[in-house]
Amino acid sequence: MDPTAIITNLKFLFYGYSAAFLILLGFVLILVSRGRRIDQELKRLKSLVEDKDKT
Amino acid sequence: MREKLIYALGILGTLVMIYNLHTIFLDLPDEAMQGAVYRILFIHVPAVLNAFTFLTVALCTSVAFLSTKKFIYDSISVACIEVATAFMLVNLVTGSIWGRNQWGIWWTWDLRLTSMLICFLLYLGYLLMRPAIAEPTQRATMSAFIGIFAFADVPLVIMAIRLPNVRTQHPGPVLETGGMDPSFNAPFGLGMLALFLIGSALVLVRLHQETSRREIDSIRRELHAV
Repeated sequence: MDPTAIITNLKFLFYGYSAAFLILLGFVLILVSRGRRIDQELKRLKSLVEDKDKT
Repeated sequence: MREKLIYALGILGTLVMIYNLHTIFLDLPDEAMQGAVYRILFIHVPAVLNAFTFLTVALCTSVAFLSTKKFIYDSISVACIEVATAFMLVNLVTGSIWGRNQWGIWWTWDLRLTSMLICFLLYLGYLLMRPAIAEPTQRATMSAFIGIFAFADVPLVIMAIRLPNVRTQHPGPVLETGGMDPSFNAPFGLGMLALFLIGSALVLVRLHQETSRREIDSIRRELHAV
């Protein structure tokens, strides 16, 4: 295999694994931010219910 | 307990992945025809096999929801389908990058690739449809039907390179025909295991979110009723 083909192959190998890990990382970040939002909303609603119960 | 299990699965999966990447990049020799780029196989194939595993679980839980009407099955379905969709995207993108290097094109409309893209789009449609239905029982029932319907494409994707008289650009099956070098078996198996562990951790995270979301819905209904 000629040196140019070897370098091109390595470049595409890098692109492939980078893309795979970026997609997985992006998905994890979406999950984390959504989880935070849900937890905050749950906490807010629970305190609202507690306030209503007191009054 | 649940959080500990998520962390354990995630950390174990990451460690297996790191060990496996070390083997793939530093121990395995280049392939004679493709050179170094064949190593994409070790993420491309495990991603789709794990996606199909989670989709099979989602199929079972969709059927279970329709027969029992228990919401936990709907939560498991959506959690599995969301993780599987991310894995299918990994499969499509890595396949496209490998194809550009080996075939000289990013995409071709042959049966294997097209059926995989349709599968991805069907499940993406499932995920986009859910927020559009506000009523929980109706949403879960509709989702279960779509989950079962969408799964019909999975056997087609698997069979696409095995059907007679089908000309496809995609390489033929190598796992069951013994066409893969025996030295690739261990990294391939570890790649499967790593993504399965990471995927399971993500499914558990998503499942917890779905449970919290149901709790939010019920509190909102309670507040409206008062």
